[in-house]
Amino acid sequence: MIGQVSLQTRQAQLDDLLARVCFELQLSPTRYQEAVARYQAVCRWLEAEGSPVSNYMPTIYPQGSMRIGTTVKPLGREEHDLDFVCEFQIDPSTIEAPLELLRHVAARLKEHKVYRDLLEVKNRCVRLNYANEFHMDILPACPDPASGEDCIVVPDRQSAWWKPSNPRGYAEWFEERCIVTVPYQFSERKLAMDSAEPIPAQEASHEKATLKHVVQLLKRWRDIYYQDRCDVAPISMVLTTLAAQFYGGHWSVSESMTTILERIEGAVNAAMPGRIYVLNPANTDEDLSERWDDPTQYAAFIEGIRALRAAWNRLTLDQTLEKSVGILEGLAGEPTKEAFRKQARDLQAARDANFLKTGSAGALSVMSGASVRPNTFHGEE
Amino acid sequence: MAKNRFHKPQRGLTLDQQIYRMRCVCPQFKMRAHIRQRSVTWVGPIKPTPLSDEYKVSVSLRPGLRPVVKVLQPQLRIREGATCLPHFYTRDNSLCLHEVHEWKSTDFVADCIIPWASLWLYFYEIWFITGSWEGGGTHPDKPEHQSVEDRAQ
Repeated sequence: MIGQVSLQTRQAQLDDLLARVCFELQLSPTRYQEAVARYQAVCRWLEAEGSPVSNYMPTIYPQGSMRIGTTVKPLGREEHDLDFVCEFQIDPSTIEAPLELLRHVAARLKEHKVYRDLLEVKNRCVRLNYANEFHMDILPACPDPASGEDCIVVPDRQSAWWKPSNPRGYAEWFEERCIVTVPYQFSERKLAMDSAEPIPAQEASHEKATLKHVVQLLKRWRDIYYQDRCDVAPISMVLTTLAAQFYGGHWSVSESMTTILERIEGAVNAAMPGRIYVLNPANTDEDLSERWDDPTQYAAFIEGIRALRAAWNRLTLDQTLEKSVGILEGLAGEPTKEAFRKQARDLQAARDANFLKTGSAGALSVMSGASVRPNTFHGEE
Repeated sequence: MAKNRFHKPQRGLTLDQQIYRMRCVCPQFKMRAHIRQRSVTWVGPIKPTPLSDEYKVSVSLRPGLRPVVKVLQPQLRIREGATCLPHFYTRDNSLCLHEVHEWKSTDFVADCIIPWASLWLYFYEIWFITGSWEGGGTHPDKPEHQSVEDRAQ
């Protein structure tokens, strides 16, 4: 595609760069395909005849960022975290110790000669560590129809009891929030109880909904800002839910971010001296922000979100390029430079194709004004 | 404008024609005439993109020579780790915008040089941020490379 560069206004150029940053952050198409293949293989292993867990008719489906298309490359390592739910058709009230479920899945995976070495049992999930690719977290779960459609409960090691959740309902809600003014339609998700639902085909970065870009940027900012104190970093689900709740339906990523940050801060101030509660919109029994019961955690969030809003406002208003780059790097890190580089490459491609024009004060634009004649930058270096 | 002040038929455009075109296309540029040298210098702002800085640029034209473009403000900077600016004549601190054959005396400064300077500044900014020059181009030690003085036609 030639000449996909938006330079009309400061906001348009910023949006162009932000979309490029998000592209750098997301799971690459190759990795995405690999993840799908790995997940299907795990699925087959759990369902296979002779598998002790196959009796419970496990259904495996993606949840979280993999499901809603907001994956972000973790800071300082190659592996993305990809979350899957393994739902068993068992009435949770018939299970005395919820952790049994976790053990069952772990036990079955241990029987596999490859998974055995990749396996790690975490608080609520079993993790398969594919070095240099991704971490696949598999969260065992049981349906909880009493709480509503698609609701599930998952075993929690800390409390040794169930935690309510609803990842499919959440994803549906999130997608609905995305389409407020987005000019294209999402294909309807099929949520039938197939034993392995296909992961939604990955969207190219430029056709991704604005809200998804905002979520990616928020998560990346979080990774950088709380780098040295991960323990108080707000979790992805909280950031994603807040962004979706306060999204104003704007097409522009920068404008959306501005609005969302303003509204988050407004909600924080209104809740004072208490805290805000971020509930799972698809299962309000689940307080996604439960960690904020700890005042230290909540204070760290408020401080961070205020710093982000201040930086963001400077980014959208400041007049020098160097400062803008500095701010953007503080928010998004390394992909910033790559975003500028790719914008320049696309501009050069537009120029080669004779789409580049100039307006007043030499302002460059793609497709309007007088065409820039070909030239060859020459010189000593 | 004094009639025929600079009028001396060239193979290409006259200074008057260049001046007129600049006034139409780049009205922000102020002109200064150097009568004795039969040349003009325009000084004005170029802001390549909305996020870019605004540069004060001078463009000097003497018929028969290539236009000389210099950045007056802000001062161009060499990024950390680099030894010089890319596509830049250190001899007279001007921008290397084109190969000799790409500029003809029948070309308007307003339509060629100003857009090229704007592009140069954009790629300079990208270079300053990333370390890579994305604007394409050639480097000297090629036969067509000539110094400003040699470029008289």
